[in-house]
Amino acid sequence: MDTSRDDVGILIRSAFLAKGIKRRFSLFILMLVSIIFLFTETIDTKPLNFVRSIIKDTIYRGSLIVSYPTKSLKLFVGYVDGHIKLSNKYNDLKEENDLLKSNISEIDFLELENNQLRKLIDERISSKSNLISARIMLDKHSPYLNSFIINSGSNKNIKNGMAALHGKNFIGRIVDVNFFSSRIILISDLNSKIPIITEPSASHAILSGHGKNKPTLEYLPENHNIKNDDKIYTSGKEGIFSPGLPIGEVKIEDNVLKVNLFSDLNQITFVNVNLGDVKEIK
Amino acid sequence: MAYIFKQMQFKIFGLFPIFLLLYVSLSGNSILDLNFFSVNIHYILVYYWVLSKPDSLGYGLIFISGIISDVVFGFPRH
Repeated sequence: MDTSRDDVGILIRSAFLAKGIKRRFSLFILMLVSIIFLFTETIDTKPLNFVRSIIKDTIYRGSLIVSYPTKSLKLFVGYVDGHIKLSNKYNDLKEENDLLKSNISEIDFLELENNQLRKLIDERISSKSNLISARIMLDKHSPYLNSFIINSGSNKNIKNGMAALHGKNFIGRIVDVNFFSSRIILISDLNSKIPIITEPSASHAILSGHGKNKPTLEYLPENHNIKNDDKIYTSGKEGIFSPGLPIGEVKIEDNVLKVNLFSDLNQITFVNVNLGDVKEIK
Repeated sequence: MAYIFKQMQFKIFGLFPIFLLLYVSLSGNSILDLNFFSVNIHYILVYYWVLSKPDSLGYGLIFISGIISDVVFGFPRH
């Protein structure tokens, strides 16, 4: 279909000049106004600057007011986001704190163990006797029977009757030896009877265990002069243990000579077994 | 009463695009910058209402909103 010059004119008019339904400005007029605005932007006169600044100020104020909800929403979103992040961070820090606490406990335990082992090594070096260190594997306590199972046995030349020490203090003797483990009967055990000597009274006696109760001194001479706080040592009289191993001190209660042990039997982790000067009890 | 209410509703719906356009122009949030592309809400609004409901949004208002946008963004820059 051919388009005449009139049709093109009508098209241009309708595109640029026609206002259409309820349109107050035509596209052409608005483009013209735009060009005029751009042109006036380059003119620098006082009244024009004044008008320009008023318009811009008004628009900026309007923009500020209009942007309040957006800003508030952004702040709210940021606030919520911050709280979520804070919560996550709190959980992370809590986990980290728990981990650190557990590490600290582990380090403390290792330090304690290290100290105990160092102590044992020092004792082994300073002692004339041939000591061997062992860890307590099992701790069997009952009202009357008290014994330890240690992680060394005949593989470390441990034999029945050897003295078990905590530090330098006598705590019991070996009664059962296996290849990798041994049982120590403690001096508090009901079956434990240890020959001792008191110091300074120099009385010989038998230290007898009573389970949970404190060990007592039995078979004492009739005219003994044992007093409170007298020290108790192994006598070595039966040739079982080395003489002079410290055990505890005397505490007289109701005319019964009880012995407070130097070592707390409930707080022992490592023991030394005296390998020297031993005659195995068969 | 129902007629007045209906008229009010109609007027509010009629003014909605104008308010939205002015809000977008004034707030300066016309461009949504997404990860892979950006969307100009200003253009979307103008195109939609001019093509779909030309009676709701006149050229003059579009022109004013454009000027407001320019002022807010500081166009044209010398």
